This record gives sequence, C-alpha cells and structure tokens, in this order.
Amino acid sequence: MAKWNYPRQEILEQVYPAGKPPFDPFPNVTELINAFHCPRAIYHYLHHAEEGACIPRTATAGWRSGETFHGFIELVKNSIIEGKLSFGSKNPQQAINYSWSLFINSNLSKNIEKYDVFWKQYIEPWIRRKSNELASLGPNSKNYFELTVANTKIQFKTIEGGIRNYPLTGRIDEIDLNQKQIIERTLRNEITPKDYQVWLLWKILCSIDKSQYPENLKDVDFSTFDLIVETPTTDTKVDKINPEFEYRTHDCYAWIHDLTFDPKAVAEAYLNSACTYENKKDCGLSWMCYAHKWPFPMCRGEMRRKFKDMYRALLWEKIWGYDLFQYRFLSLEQDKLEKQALLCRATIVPKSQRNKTFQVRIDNPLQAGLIWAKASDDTDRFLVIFGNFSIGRRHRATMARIAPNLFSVRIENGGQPSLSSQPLIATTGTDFLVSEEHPTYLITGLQKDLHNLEFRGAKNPDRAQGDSKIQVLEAIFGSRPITRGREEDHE
Amino acid sequence: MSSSNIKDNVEQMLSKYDNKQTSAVEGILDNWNSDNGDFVFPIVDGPPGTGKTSVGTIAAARYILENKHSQVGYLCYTHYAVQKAREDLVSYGFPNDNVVELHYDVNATNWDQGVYGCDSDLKCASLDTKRRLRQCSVLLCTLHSSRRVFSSANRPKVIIDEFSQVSTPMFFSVLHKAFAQKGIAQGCYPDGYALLGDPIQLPVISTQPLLRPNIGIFIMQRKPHDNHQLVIQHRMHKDICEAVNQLRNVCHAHRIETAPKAMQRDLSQLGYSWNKSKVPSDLAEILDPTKPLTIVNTDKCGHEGRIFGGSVKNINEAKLAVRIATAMHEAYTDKNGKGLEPSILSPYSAQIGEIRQEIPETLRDLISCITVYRAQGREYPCVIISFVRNNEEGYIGFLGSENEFKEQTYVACSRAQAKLIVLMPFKTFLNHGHTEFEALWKTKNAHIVELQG
Repeated sequence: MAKWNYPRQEILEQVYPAGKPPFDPFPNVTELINAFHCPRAIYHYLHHAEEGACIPRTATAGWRSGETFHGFIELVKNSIIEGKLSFGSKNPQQAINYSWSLFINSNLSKNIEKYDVFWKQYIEPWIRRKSNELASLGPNSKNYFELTVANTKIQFKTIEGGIRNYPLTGRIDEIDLNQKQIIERTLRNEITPKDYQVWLLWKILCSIDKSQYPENLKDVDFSTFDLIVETPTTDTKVDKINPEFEYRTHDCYAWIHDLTFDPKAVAEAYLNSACTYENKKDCGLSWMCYAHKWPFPMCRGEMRRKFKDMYRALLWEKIWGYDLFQYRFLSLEQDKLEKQALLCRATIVPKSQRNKTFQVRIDNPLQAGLIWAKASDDTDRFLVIFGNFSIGRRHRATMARIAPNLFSVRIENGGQPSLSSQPLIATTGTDFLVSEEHPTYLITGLQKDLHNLEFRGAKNPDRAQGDSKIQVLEAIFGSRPITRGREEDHE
Repeated sequence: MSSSNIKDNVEQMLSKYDNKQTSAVEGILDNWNSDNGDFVFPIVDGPPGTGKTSVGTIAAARYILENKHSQVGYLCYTHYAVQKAREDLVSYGFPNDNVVELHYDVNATNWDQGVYGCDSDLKCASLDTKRRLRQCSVLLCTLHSSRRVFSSANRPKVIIDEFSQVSTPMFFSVLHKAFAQKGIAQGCYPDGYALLGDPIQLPVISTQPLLRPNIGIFIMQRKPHDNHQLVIQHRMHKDICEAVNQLRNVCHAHRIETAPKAMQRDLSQLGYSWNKSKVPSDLAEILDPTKPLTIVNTDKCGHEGRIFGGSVKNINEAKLAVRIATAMHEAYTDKNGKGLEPSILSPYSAQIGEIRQEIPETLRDLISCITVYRAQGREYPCVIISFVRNNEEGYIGFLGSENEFKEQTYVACSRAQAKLIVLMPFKTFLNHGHTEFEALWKTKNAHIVELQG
C-alpha cells in the first residue's frame, strides 16, 4: 500500500456521492484489533459485520458480557461521584448488589439466574479488589466514561524508520484524570488484544491537537498517563513504547485497505488465516470459518455469488455515509459546519430531564428549521455529542419539536445520560452538539443477516421441499419456476 | 364485530373491485407451492391511487377468514404505511387488539389502539402477551423490525407493501429473520409471500448502483414474471392523472385510467366552496378551483441558495408557497366553515425548514409541509410543490432524468386529489433536456401561470 488515501476537499463537500469511494475508509479501533487478530476476522468484520472474533463467548452472559461488566462499573462509579450511592456503615458489596439488581432490570434482562452467576464470577471479585478505590471517589473525582476519540492523522513508525499517518477512531472505557489512567476492561484473563486496543486509543488521544481538547481537558497531558487493562481480578499496565504494535499497525491498515477495494484480497486473507481447521484458534468466529453447509437450498452457490457483490456494495455505502462523515467533521471547521446546519449547537433547558429525555433550545432559526424538518420523520436519528468530534461522548437520539426553537431529546443508547456530569466536557457551559446520524447500524444489520442466511438450510429433501423459505431461494436463485398465482378470467 | 360482519365488509369491498384487483387478491391467496411445481410469488404493480394497500389488506382479511387459526405478517417500509394498513383492517371490522402493530418503542404499547412495543426477540413479553400475540389475526411491522413478527407468529402469510423502497438485501434480511426464529426448528415457516408497490415510485436510496434495484425488479430481472398490474386510479382528478400519466410515459410504465367517480374531483366536488373576494388578486388565477392542474413559472423568484452538505433552498419560492397555502386556507372552506388544509411538498429538506419558518405560527398545524420522500403513501386534497432549483444553467441536481431520485417528481404530483400547484422556473426546468418536466408542462389541460412581479 503506497499511502493512506484521504478524501480531497471537493469530496468532503460533495453533495451526492455514488459508486466506489475515491478515498480509504476511516477505521475504528475494533477493526484494527480484528485485523491484528486474523485477516479473516477483519474480512468478516468489514464484509459481514461479524465482530465477535475477539469477544469470548462466556457461559454466563453471552456476547455482550463485556459491555454489561463495563456498563455496570460506569454506573457504580458515576453514582458514587454524584452522591447517589454511598456505603456508610454498609458493606460495599451489599450496597452495590442492590444497584446491580436495578441495573439488570433496567437493561431488560429477565434471566436473573444467569446474572447471579455473572455477579459472583466477575462483579464480586472486582468490587473486592476495588473497594478502597471506590471509597475514595467523590465530587472531586474526574472519571470520564465511553469517550469517543478520533483523529484523521495519527503517526505510526515504520520498520524502515519513517512515519506514516492514518485516521482512527475509538471509544475509551474510562479515563481517570486523578489517577492518570486510561482504562480498558475485559472479562478475559489474557489481556491480548486489549493491550493493543488501549495503546491505540492512547495514540489517538496524544495525536489530537490541544486546540481540539474540550475546555476541561485543555491542561491534561495524556502522554504521561498509564495504560491499564482491567479484568475482574487483575490490573495490567501496558508499555507505551511498543515497536511491535507500531509495525503491525501498518499491516492492519493494509488489510483494511485491500479487503475494502480489492476482490482478490479475500483469497489472500484466507491464505493468511491465523488458524487452520486442524489447529483452531480460540476465536469467536471459528464456527463461521469452518461451518457445515446444508445441502438445501441447492442454489447456494449462485446465491453466494450475488451476495458477495452486495457485501462490498454495502461496505462502500457505509464508507460514503459514516466514514466520510468522520472525515468531514474532523477536517472542516466547526463554524463552517454550524453555518451550513450540518451541525447544530443546542443548550440544555435546566431541570428538564426525565429519565432518558430532556429538552434543548436551538437558537439559530435555520438550524432549528432543519432539525424540525428532519425530526418529523420517525426514521431519522440524531447524534448528540457532549464535547466535540475529536473528544466527546456520543449518544444516538431522537428529537421532537415542542416550540419553534425548543426540542425534546430522547437518548436511545448508552443508558440514561447523566447531565450533571456530562457537560463537564462540553465545549461551552451546558452546550452540546447535534448532528444527523448516519444509520450505519441498519447497513451492518443487512450485512449480517445476508451472511447468516448463507448458513441456513436443511439436510432432509422433504423438509426442504415443504419450507417456503428454502423454496423462495430456489425460485429466485435456482431452477424452480416462479409465477404470479392463479390465472382466472374475470372479464 | 363477528367474523360474519368482517366477511360482509370484505365481500362488499370485493364487489367494488375491478378484474385486475380481484385477480391480484386471488394471486396473494394462492398456495405458494403450486400443483405444477411453480413457486407462487405474486408481485402487484399498483400505481398511485389504484388501491394497492386496499388489495393487500383485503387479501389479508380473506386469508384470515378462509384459514382457521391463521396469521398474516404485514410488513411496510415506514410506520406511516403500517398505520394506514392497520386502519384499513380495522375498518373491515377487525377488533383493534386483533390487528396489532409491533413497535420498536417499548413505551408505545397501547392495546386499545392496537400497538405493542417490544424488543426484537420478545424477550420481555410475558407468556400471556406472547399467547395474545399468537392469537392476533394480523401482525404489522416495519421491515427493519420484522423479527418481531416472526418471533410472534409461526406460519404467517407475509405481505410486503411499498416494495419500491425495499432493497434486495433488505428482503433477504427479512427472510433470514424468519429462519433465525429461535425455539422453532428451522425457524418460522411463512405461508407464502407477496409484494405490493409501484416499481417506479421512490427508489431504494443507495450510493451503490448494485443496491438500487428493488426486490421486485431484482426478481423480475432474474426470472420471467408476469406481475399483477392495477390500472384504475381512484384518487386524482383526471387532469392531475393525465400529468401523472405523462410522467409514467417517460418511465415507460403503463397508462392508468381514472375511475368515473374521480373524473371531476375538484375542490368543489370535495365539498369546498371558495370565496374569491378573500384571494389576493395576483393569486386568483393560481387558486381557481376549475383549474385542477396549475403550473406556475417562478423564473422571477430569484436564484436558489445552496446549503453546504446536501440541500438547496429558495427563499422567495418558499415565501410564495406559503402565500399560496395561506390564501388557499382562507379562501376555501368546507360546509362547516373550516378552512382547507393544503400541503406543501418539496424534494429538499432545507426548503422544508425554510417554509416551516415562514408559515405563520397560527397556521403551523393547518398547513402541512413535508419532504416528497415522506409524502409517499399519503394523499391530500390540495398539494403545492416547490421544486426550488432556479438557475440559468438548467441544473436540477437529483431531480434530473439521469439520477436516481427523479421519481420524486412523480411521487409529488400523484399525492394531489383535486388541486395540484407546481412551482418551477421554466428557464431552469424547460429546454434543458429534463424530459419529465417538459412532459409535465405539456400535459393536456395544464393551466400555465406566469408569475408577475
């Protein structure tokens, strides 16, 4: 790969993009760790939106167990900082256990038994280890959770001694300003690839120009921070000077580039797999790489050929929508973005929060008009950003107009927003930014469903014959004739 | 209401159907596994106002009546289309809690209004709720949320409405959701599929040419398929229908005919009387109820303004649209003295934002103003379209014939029942090879108005 291809100015301002993107993607940290793990894993990630390669399937909580672990720690720490949770004379485990039962109920899980195991296996050992640290938390603590960081040009050293720039974005589990730590959490005992992940996130943070830092972080020097991978039972410090990470990063970007644009790279990725059928690696996607295919539908070959082109088209669609959006918001000046109503500045109405809903004021009439036009559509989502595009907490939200310049905002992901702590990192006062969200999750959903459909089928011919799902595939892709239904003469 | 009442209502509706509609309903009711080995997959091509949703809901109702303990999964692209289909079914006599919309918002549950909000796998639903959903005759849902239908129903007949917006990957994603249903070996077994829509209405939005053909076109390109074509429209005045036919002709689509009852459907026939004295003199010609199709030359509105990042607006045209809409509201009243509620459509969201800011606060709930994209599936007595573009070069962006969104013109014009007012500068839209707009301008009985001043 010669160099990373950035979008030209006219592309950044192009109105109606189409076809093959004339620039390279804007990767996220998860893509890099997948490429680091195995070329096939990054192929599945990019083309089939399968992200489970580095995520263990635990017996207790399934795929999202890591998120549950981290999400609960965030809740506990925030509650202590805001004074909503205090231990007093109580045992911390008892006090936190009550929060745990509320947490799992609010996360719509009814499988309490499973979560009891989760508590004993992961949360309890963590609390035992961290009880002193939790007790020291208070109003002066500065812990920021789930901050998204991004930069278009991050420098990585090459093996020849040169330097290359790449774009990268990622989400940090926690930044603890008091203890000067950047923390990534995992439920696995081995810290790979989380060590690489926290290192990449630190590289992004350090690469961001100080002028882009939100007001409250202006004086922070992240280059001196410790990088910690936290498991329920251990904290591991990661080396910041790490030549292997530097060099392997170039390989990861090369795989991402090639698999995005070059159809031949897929075969290359298979040849360079990190494991073989005889010698399988501990990987969340091994079932996919070595899957058994049912004999029916018989048209699977043709179906696969058609789907293959669709995966790449969907990937390019995502690059035009989401990756260009990242380049645009990190490359163009915020004033210009605001002037053109791509980005709106909103002010939170004091005391308006009810759970996940609160009210905001948008004073610019053009921006308010556009948000109103878009908010009327029940399929449109917005991105609410506390901070800015370089460092900030991003929430997906829906908006509805209450009065000419007044809107209600409903946060749709990431739990209930804590408005008392989040504006700490906002650009000014209680302002935050609103932008239209590109529905990438809908595209990845399609990629995933198409790919999973390839694995569906039946062994028994009679069963296949009686299954309308298999037969509709045979009719569209195979040899079965298709007709519109009974023909009756009504003349 | 009992099933015999529903049966009576359905039969009454069917008696009003033309042959093509009846044939489409029967095609949908056919067993997917035909005796001669063909796979029955009806595709109903229903141009605007030809009653495709009615065909879909009547087919659903008949399927329920003819098959004991059966269920229909009715899938649409938008929530609005879901609600319209549901209203149709309720009007045939189905109890509100028997035709239920499955909504992604868990707080939206209201059984009396036939809405149940749930997660996609119905994990939070109680056993009682699941039982209740299994007993519903029709479960309606958007395509993106369709997993909910397959989590609730075992062998539903799957009817997909407005397929012009359904991409090929989206259709197969729905199919996968049926496969993936947990707890039932091999997933849920739909009892057949049907597609309803107008292939030349709003397209699949995609940057990728490969993804643009909708599922109907994808199937028809792969296999010879004779679709059900509906030809009689019941919505538009014949002059407006003629404009729509002009646009269909450009797209090489079949002509549609106007049902006798809609032939002379102007605002007077819809029950509105107009008070000419309330109309500003310069707008009288535009508002004339005897001219159902009026095309206004807005050359003098001044140039468009570009909004960086995607949208375009024209402030003077926005002001004109609001003046016309306000005058319509004041000059036309129904028999109860209530003012007409006109609708303003524009392909550009920036223009919609501009128009909404221009509408006087007192009229904001009375004059609807939405993008053409959102207007699909809706109909209004009076529609004012602001096409926004105004330049000397004849550049009309995505509205041009070579682009994927050219269908916006067709969709916008076909929303009007009795009065259609088109605002467009002739210097930009005519004589530059924009065949749709030239065809529109040449429509027989189109009343051309030159804007003064």
